[in-house]
Amino acid sequence: MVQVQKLAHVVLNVGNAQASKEFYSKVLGVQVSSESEDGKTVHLGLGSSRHDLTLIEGATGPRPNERQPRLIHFAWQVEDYEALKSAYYELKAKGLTIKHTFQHNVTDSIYIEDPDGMLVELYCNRWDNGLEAMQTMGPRTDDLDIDTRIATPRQVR
Amino acid sequence: MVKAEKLGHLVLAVRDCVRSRDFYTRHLGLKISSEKLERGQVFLTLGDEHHVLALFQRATAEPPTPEQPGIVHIAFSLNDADDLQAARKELNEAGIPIEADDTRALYIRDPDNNRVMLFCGRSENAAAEMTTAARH
Repeated sequence: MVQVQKLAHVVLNVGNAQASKEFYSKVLGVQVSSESEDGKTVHLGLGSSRHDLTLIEGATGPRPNERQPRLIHFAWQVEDYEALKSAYYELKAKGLTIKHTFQHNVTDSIYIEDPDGMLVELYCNRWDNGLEAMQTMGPRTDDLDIDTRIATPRQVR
Repeated sequence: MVKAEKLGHLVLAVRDCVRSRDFYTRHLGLKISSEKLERGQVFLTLGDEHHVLALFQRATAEPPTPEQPGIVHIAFSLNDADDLQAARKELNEAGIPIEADDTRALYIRDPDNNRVMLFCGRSENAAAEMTTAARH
C-alpha cells in the first residue's frame, strides 16, 4: 500500500511570477528560497524544508471557471487567533479585500485572493487535536465576527 | 507582518468526489477524516491534522488547459527510495499511468487530471530537487 507521508508542496501556474512572489512573500510572509535567473520560477517555503510553494510563470489564459475542476483554495496556518485577527486588519490596511471571514468547526479562517484570483485561506486551529474534532463534528461554515470571535449562521449573499 | 507558519491544506473542485476520494485513499494512502457525500464533500488527512486535502464535488466541465492559472502539480513526500520503488510497482499494478519517472520522483494524474508528484528526499534538499521537477 502506497503511504505518502505529508503534503509537501504545491506548484502553481501563474500569470506573473514576480507579482505572485511579492504577494506570497510580502503579504503572507512565506520566504523566498530561490528563483530562476529569468525570475519566472520562484520557490518559497517555511521552516526546514524551505519549500512549500513554487510559482511558475506560464499562465496566459483565463482563470478556470466555476464548472472546471480547479484549486478552490489552499490554506496557510498562522500561530493563533490573535495572529489571525492581526492579519485581518493588516491585509485590509494594505487594501486587500477579505473575501470571507468564516468559523469552521476546526479553524477560524479568513480568505483573500492572490494575483491570479486564486483563493488563499489563512487559519488558526480551534483545537489541539484537529482530527478528533473533524471526525466528531465534521465540517461547518459560519460567518465569523473577527473582533468577538462569535460565529453566526452564514448569511446568503 | 503576517506570518504564515505552515502550508496546511488544499481544497479541490472535483467532478466526482467518490472517485477522487478512492484515488487518494487507495493509491496514495490518505485517510478519510470526514465526509458528507450528500453535500459532495470529502476531507482527507495523513496524521492528526483535521485535513490536508478536501474534495468538493463542484465541477462538471473539462479540466483547465495548461494556459490557465492553477495547479501544475501537488507533491506528497515518501519516506525513502525504497518506498518510491514500491509505489512505482503498486501504481503500475493498479494501472495508473506514471509520467516523468526518475529515481527521486514520479508523477501521476488524479481523476480530474491534476498532476500529483510523489518524491523522496531529505527535506533540506527538497527545494533543489524541485527545481529540476518544476521543469517538467
